[in-house]
Amino acid sequence: MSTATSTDERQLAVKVLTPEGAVFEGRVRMVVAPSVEGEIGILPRHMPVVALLRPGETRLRITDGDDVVLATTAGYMSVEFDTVVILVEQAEPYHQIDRARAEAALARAREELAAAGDDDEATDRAKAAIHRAENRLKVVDRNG
Amino acid sequence: MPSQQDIKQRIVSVTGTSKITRAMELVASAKLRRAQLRIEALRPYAKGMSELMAGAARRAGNVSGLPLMAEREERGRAAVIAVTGDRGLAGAFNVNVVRLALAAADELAAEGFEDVVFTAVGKKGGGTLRFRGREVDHHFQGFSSDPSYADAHVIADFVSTRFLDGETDRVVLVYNEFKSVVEQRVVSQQLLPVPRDLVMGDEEPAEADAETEGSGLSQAIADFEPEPAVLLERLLPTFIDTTIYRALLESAAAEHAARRTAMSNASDNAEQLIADLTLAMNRARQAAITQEILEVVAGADALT
Repeated sequence: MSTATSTDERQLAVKVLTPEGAVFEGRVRMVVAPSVEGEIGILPRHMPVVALLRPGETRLRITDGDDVVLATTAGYMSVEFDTVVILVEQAEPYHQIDRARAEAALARAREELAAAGDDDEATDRAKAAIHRAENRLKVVDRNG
Repeated sequence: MPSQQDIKQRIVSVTGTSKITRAMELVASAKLRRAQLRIEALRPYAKGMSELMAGAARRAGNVSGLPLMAEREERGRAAVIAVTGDRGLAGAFNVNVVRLALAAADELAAEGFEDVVFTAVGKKGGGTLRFRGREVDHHFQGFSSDPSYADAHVIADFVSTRFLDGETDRVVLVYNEFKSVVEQRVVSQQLLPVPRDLVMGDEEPAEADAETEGSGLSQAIADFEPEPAVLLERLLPTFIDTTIYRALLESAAAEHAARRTAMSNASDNAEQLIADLTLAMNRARQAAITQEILEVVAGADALT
């Protein structure tokens, strides 16, 4: 009985890091991340994994019925001995995403793309902004 | 001897200048603090990135096949990225970078590169390099005091593309490293091809803490998705982004620190100057009063 309980309470130490700082640091029961080869779910005692992530949503189950959902860009995840490190360019908790603002950002990025013309730098920047905005909206829609 | 009026005007003007330098000092302090926080914020990400890359590289074994790491012969064309500020009034901050960038270019030429081209980041560096008749292939500007990761990515993309297209054969990054508030050091580091030892990391420490932390050991058995070599190929551009981003942040912090020091010295000098001028003015006033008394006395004497 006591061993069973301790197994159930085994948790993952998760860090979600971006160049601008840590977005999430804490203990969770499960991590679901969008790997390039499909969604990948991590539970305690998972074998060591290093995975490439595509833009999408990363789900952190803190307790049953209490999820933290993050809109994440492309990045990397490494799992070892119940420690999960997720490295992404940007991560935004879904409840902090303001739908209207995300839509405005998307519209603005599209305008920038249209205005960019031959400027490669501006085009790249605008495209990246569009992808981010679209991903954000998708995450909101799925959880809305 | 300047009149009282002249001295008074100078005091007013110096006071005005010292107000400006004092304000710039305060602004630089505030920006410096923010830049320092951002360097701190990047540290865990950069560390995680290095560990991941070292793990993938060790598993992949042979990394020489990766285009971004392939060593090329010392001929052809080298590029020097000089990271300066967009604005002056920061002491020797911009000059130091340009000086080391030119020295680095000479060194590359001595090693056998036929041609050295500059990529300027920051308004000041680009201007100076062009003025000295150097070839500047691109001039990034507008973000020196508060660079974002996206800015770094644009630069990384530019230099990597040129390197992969064979237009450059080596890329060196020159920037001000932020050592402390009072000390900045200009450093030059090879960016491309990505040095092998940077990718592999220190193998010894990783194995030493394998028992406690397990980073070295576990990645030897880790499941890579996709394969280590493929993952490494994807990681390298991110590593270059991160390296440039760090250089931009360090440079921003160093710029604010240099400006703060320069402005603090300027304010102190202005204060000293005001004190000297006030003394001179009081002397001039005394002299004028003495003169008047003498004239009055002489006038009274003449009447009697």
